[in-house]
Amino acid sequence: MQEWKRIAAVFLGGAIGGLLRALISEGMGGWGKFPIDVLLINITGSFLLGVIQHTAFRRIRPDWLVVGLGTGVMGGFTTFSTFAEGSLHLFSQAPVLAFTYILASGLCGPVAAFGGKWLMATLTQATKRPTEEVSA
Amino acid sequence: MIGTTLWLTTCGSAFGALARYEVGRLVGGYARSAFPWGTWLINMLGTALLGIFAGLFAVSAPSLFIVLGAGFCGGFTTFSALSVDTITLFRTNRMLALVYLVSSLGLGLVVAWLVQLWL
Repeated sequence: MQEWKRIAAVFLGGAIGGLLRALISEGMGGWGKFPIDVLLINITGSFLLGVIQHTAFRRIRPDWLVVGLGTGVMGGFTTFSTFAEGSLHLFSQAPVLAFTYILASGLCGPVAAFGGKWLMATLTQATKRPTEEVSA
Repeated sequence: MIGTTLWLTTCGSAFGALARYEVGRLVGGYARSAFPWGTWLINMLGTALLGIFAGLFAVSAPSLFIVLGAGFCGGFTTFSALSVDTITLFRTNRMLALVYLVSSLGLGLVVAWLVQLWL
């Protein structure tokens, strides 16, 4: 039963993530040849998944909510295939821009994910003491 | 009012995410290692599929290409998991984290290039 809920959450989350990605892509497009839309989507999604993957979120029940948000929405929102295809396309036209795109994605993605995790760690640190006092 | 492209991407992405969830679980069951084989394989496979779909349908059937390309492959592959996996791995094994990140980015490009050559 729980597994069906997770599957439904991933399916629905994937739809929401894909819709958001399409909305942003259609709304802003690229900067000329440079796929700034995909870059921003991937960096934002990496940051948010960093937040969601923090232990404070993982403890949330029901767990299908977290799976739906992480694997579903953020997984569907961000994309690797469009990034790879876009870099290759850019390489044939503007190699320097392509290199910038790959470097920016490969650096900013993990840094954003770290930022998300760090933010959650800081926030939970700040709220930990009062909660402990209340529960004690 | 939701445009055709948005609608097609949304539908394809739902199935892509579901496929990623199932493939990830399957690979995770076989490969019990610190290296995130699931996400790694999914991203390479999805990049190859996007290239194949582009070669087959981008011109002849644009709507089908949106469903399968931006939709399915876009939802199937993930950059956020790649980023988070890299950070998680970096804490325990810096070298492996670097190998994971660089091989994903580099091989992804090579896979896309090979598919384009092939078609």
